[in-house]
Amino acid sequence: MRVEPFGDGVRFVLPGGLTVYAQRAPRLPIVAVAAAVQAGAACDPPGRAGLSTMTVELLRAGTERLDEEALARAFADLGTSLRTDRGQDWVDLSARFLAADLDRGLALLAEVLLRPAFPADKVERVRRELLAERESGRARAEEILVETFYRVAYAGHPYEFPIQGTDETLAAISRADVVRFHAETFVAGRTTIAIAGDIEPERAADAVGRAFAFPLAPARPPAGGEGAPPRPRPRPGVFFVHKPDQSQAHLRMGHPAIPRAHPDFDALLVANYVLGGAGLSSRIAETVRTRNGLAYAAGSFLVPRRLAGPFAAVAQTRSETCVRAIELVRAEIERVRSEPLPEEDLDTARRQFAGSLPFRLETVGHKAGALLEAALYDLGPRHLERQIERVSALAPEEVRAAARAHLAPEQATIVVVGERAALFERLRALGEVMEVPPP
Amino acid sequence: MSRADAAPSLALEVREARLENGLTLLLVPDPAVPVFTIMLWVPAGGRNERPGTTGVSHYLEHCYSLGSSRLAPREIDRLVQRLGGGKNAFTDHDYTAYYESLPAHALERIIEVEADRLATLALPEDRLRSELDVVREERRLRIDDSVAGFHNERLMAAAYERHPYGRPVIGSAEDLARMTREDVLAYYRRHYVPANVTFVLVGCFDEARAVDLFRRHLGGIPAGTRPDDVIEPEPPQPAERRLTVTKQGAKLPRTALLWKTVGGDHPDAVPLAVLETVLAHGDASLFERVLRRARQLVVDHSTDYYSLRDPCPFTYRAEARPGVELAAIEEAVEALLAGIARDGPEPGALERAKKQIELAFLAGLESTSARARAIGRYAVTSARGWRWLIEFVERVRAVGPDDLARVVATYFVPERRTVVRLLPEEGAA
Repeated sequence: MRVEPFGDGVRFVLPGGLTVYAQRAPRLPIVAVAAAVQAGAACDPPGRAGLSTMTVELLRAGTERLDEEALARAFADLGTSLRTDRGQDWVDLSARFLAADLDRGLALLAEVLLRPAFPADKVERVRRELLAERESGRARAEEILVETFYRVAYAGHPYEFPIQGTDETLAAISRADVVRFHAETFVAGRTTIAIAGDIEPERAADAVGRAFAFPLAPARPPAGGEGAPPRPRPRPGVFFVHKPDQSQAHLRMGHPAIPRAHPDFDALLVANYVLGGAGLSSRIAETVRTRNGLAYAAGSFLVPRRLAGPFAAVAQTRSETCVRAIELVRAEIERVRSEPLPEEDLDTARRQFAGSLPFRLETVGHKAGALLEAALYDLGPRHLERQIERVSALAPEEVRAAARAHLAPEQATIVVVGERAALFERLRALGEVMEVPPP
Repeated sequence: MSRADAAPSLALEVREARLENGLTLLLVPDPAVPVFTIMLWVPAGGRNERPGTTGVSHYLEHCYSLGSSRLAPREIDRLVQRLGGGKNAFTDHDYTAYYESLPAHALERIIEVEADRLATLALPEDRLRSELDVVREERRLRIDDSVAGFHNERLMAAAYERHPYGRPVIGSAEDLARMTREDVLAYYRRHYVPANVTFVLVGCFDEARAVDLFRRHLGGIPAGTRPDDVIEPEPPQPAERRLTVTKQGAKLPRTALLWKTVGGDHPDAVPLAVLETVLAHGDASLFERVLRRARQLVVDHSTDYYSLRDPCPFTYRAEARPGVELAAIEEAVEALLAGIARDGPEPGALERAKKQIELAFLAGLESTSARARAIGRYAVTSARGWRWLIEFVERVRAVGPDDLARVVATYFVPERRTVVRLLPEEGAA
């Protein structure tokens, strides 16, 4: 194992290709461990949306050595619990340990990642849980909105389907699918581990080496759709979902933008920051919320993804003010594309990026997360510091150029969830409105 | 590893100072970080409101960034942004709190700003009106259009008939519709005075200089008087309360069980907090194991014990799995609690819970904002002040199995229990 410096920490690769990052942060006797496996929903095979999610949920359901209850107790004995996060690109497993418990914690994590049992009865239970979760989500406008947005704006793309799957695809997934998906994707070459906290990096390397010292399957490409990453075609238009009990309209307008590793990402991030990403100080919040009182939350975001993540603006507002809010938002997107960014706005963004660095690395969890982010998007060491340098050097024209190149309000998919009688006719002011069934 | 090794370092050095006008300062200098968090704590929240003006605490929180004698509306947002920091605020039953996290060099600037808005808040009429619209949208989002928010509002109202904990912190829709500038101004003048408020400062600063800056910029504000709030106590409840509500748009039935317990200063608050961990924290907890996994009764559930000044709720909320009767969930919860009252916690469960609490406490010391939040919350909700934070962790170590059995037997009884079921209402689809 070769240990090389990586920013303030180290990077090393274990036999089989497992990549590990470690950074010492000794203020408190705790350690954060985070593992990311490139086995997200984008890897789900056709007709099996939700397979990634079922697999990651089932990792907690027992290993070859420990049944589900014994595994839960083993983490709790260390005062912690295992956190699993679903995702489009990656699934994440993370936990926080007392520094003195790190060896035991890593051994448990290795067991969960690489020796899951996938008991047949637990496969059935997790399937029922996910179906029930979907039924529960049908009561929440925001979940309907997000699912509909991806369904329309990413049709035909690996990000099209909900991460948790659909009723039909969940019903089709078998235990054999789960076992195969795990064998193909939970392999050393697709796994990255980051450790930050009260531990010497050399000792972390040693501990990981021992915990993961068993044969690893060679990386084979998974059967899923990730091999074909087309840039999705935009689906402009107004798409409406009827939810009869809503007093508010929930709206989201946007489109696929650019991958996290795209050279324009930082400039576009700054454009989005000024537009809708700076909380109450952003232009969208200022006009929709502060000046007009139309919404509690209004803003925009650019989602970092391995493939082209979405840009979208969002708000919740009364049915009567929905069209006005959409027009205000659209005008602001147009303005960031057409007008040069005032030097003062750009300067504010530069200062915010630079000043926020200590807060983005304040906890051991933050530090481990930043290491993972660098690894997953191949951003190199000290990527946050280097991003600040790049943002500091941006000229107003570069920000506008990125906005012009990658924000397209006329191509945006507009999804509105709300009450039909109050909304449908009003929305026609924006053009043709297509009603789509709720998920 | 020995117990002593596992124990977190409790060397949380809080320096206490009081200005001549009564303003309280709690300072935690920490030269190891390049930043600080400044946090204003006002012991005024839903608890201090009267019927007719519910929501005024939270509305004032929204208005607190709308300018003062030397600050334009929202100028504080832009200032914090340009300094590279972050800010937020929150309102709860017992308090309202505001914080900014900033680089070390910004200390004097932010103290000037906090002094200006504490003394000379502007409350311009036009801005107030649009901010009230924002709050009403927030209420629609969080309560009226939210199955969980609506359910919780009904639960608290049913459990607390007289005490203000039964009223919504965000305010009733009716009260918000008729809220006036005079309501907000009177509330601000009554509660936002040096004699009543506390500033917590955690992070990179020199203690003597910080005290001097606070004195220079805030020492001249007239002290005011600490409001003598008379809170109507909740009368004893003769028997269990049960209620069923319906909600259009809900898909799955829900139930919530609430037991009124004790105020945060009561010695039993400690075993109750440990009980919450035993029941509901992590995959190995009793409720996760039995209710979710073994019996598969719930889609989602939560257990909350969040100590407040006055007798506060211990709550279990669940959304039923399709086909599961709510009675089955309620009976299962009662049976598990009865088991603890009879036999104490399961072997190992108490030790695991204690270790979870210690690790969570340590992790809560990581950021300056988390430290400021923990210190301030105890400072304004406990008669013991911020010291309760330290004492709390020490007392957790002394909790025994019998303590858990005793608090369950004492507080989880029908005369303290309110059960509110929520059923989906069949509406036109």
